[in-house]
Amino acid sequence: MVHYHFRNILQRVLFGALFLYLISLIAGCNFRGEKPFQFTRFAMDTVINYTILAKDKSEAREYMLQAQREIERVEHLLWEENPQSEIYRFNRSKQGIETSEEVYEFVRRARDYFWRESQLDLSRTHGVFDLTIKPVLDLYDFKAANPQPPEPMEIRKRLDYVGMESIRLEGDPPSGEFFISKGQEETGIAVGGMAKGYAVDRAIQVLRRSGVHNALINAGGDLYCLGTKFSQKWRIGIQHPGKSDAIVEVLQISDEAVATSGNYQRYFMYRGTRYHHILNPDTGRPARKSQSATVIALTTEQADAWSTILFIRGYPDGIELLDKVEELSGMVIDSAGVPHYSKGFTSYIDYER
Amino acid sequence: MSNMDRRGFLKIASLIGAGAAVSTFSIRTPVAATERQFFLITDQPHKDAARLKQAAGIASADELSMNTTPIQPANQDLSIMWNSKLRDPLKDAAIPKSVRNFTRQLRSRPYKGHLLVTLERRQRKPDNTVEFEVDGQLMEQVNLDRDYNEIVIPGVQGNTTFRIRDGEVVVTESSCRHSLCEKVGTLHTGRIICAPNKLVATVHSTHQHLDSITG
Repeated sequence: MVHYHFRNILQRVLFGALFLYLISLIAGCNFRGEKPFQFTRFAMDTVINYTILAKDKSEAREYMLQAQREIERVEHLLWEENPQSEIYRFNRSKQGIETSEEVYEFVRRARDYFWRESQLDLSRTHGVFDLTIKPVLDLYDFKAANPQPPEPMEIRKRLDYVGMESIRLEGDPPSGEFFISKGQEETGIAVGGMAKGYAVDRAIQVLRRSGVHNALINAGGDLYCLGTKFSQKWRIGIQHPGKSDAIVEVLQISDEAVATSGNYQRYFMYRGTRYHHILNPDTGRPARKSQSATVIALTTEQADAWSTILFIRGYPDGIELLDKVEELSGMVIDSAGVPHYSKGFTSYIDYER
Repeated sequence: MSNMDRRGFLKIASLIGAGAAVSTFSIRTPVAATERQFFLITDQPHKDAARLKQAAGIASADELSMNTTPIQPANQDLSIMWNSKLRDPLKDAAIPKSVRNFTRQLRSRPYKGHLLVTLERRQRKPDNTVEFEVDGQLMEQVNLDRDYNEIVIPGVQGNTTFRIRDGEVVVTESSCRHSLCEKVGTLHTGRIICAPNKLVATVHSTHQHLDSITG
């Protein structure tokens, strides 16, 4: 009798649990069960903003921590200012170093962007997206108390070390051995044009694997919009280059990435001239054609890299280049403050903001 | 609508027929209590706007944003909207005496052109707040409807000092070396970030409908 009673209770509990599980399944499919939660963290010298749709804050927080750990892992691996990173060691090596497959692939993709860009525009001998600008970039100290632009002689000297062709990639996936070597000791890699985008892509991948369907990660302006927010596309404002609290356009984005390169992000003023961090590899000086360039792409890394290309090339070169690639669209604000759009871009703009 | 200087006004006034002399103007204080709008028809927008501000008792000059646009006059009656009602400025007791005097002066002035000036008080919702976060932890939440001379937020490296005035936030002093945050300027929406201190000041207001900002 006692035994029967026990079984009865067990049955009830089991049925109850099953019932609750079914309810939660239904609620899980329904976006109304989810709420957006926002978090702020720091990595890669910038602020990372998370918006994650989840049932409660503790769940969202758990997802955020997973994503943040991934971004910190990427930072540890290839952020050039981190003394433990492989890129840091590469920049200080004599002939190059043995690397992990991930860093090897990262540099290989950087070279591919450079090549792709050169193939699309045969009027130039080489692309402008050149991570080997590092030796020249080092001449500009944006964090100094009284920054000054470098001497022209110094720039010319260091430009000799710049060039993607001086980086050699020797990889053998089956044996798991990867080498990146360089022609000259002074050659180095600056990851700024791609690393944040790559880190966001990796973090989004982590969220996807954990079963998150709707989230937004923004690493200092390089952002990816996963899914939607309550069945509506994510609404992204493009910052005005002159006024930090004004918006130029509002975009509607879902399952795509947006990145912006601007001359207002890292800069110093010297005798009335703005010296910012996006250098033209031809001259070793800040690119002057644009104030801001925004690119929408399938991955954040692509958006990050192409926004730099669009910024340096400006209008009309950069826009013509984007029009040749179907999966990319962009907008550039030229030095006079006039916006120019690529063919596909206007379909993202929310005119009823 | 765009801001315009006196020379620009004269150019447009000559285009729309400066000969049509009208002495029409209206002042309107409408809609929500937090927002006041004034419409003024005049040929000397900057001069008269300043006097209108004075007459209507608006203390600080930067509280108002001014837009000017040329218009065709609707009628020649001198009318004024005050607290959402059409009134005769010279008879209605609800109109302050200073505004009445101002009206009289405008009326006696011979007009050569006309222009609509819109003055909008910057919307300052009482629920606008600024949140100070250090390393993801909420440190302080301050309402923007009051002014503060000094808000000191301790960060990872040191203190950062903020000031709130007229619903706008500005960094007045920063402990970090390059003090990029001091260059940001005043902010009535958006964020001020100090990476060395892991400090983020977020102003929640008009761009609230956006999910994120790139740039």
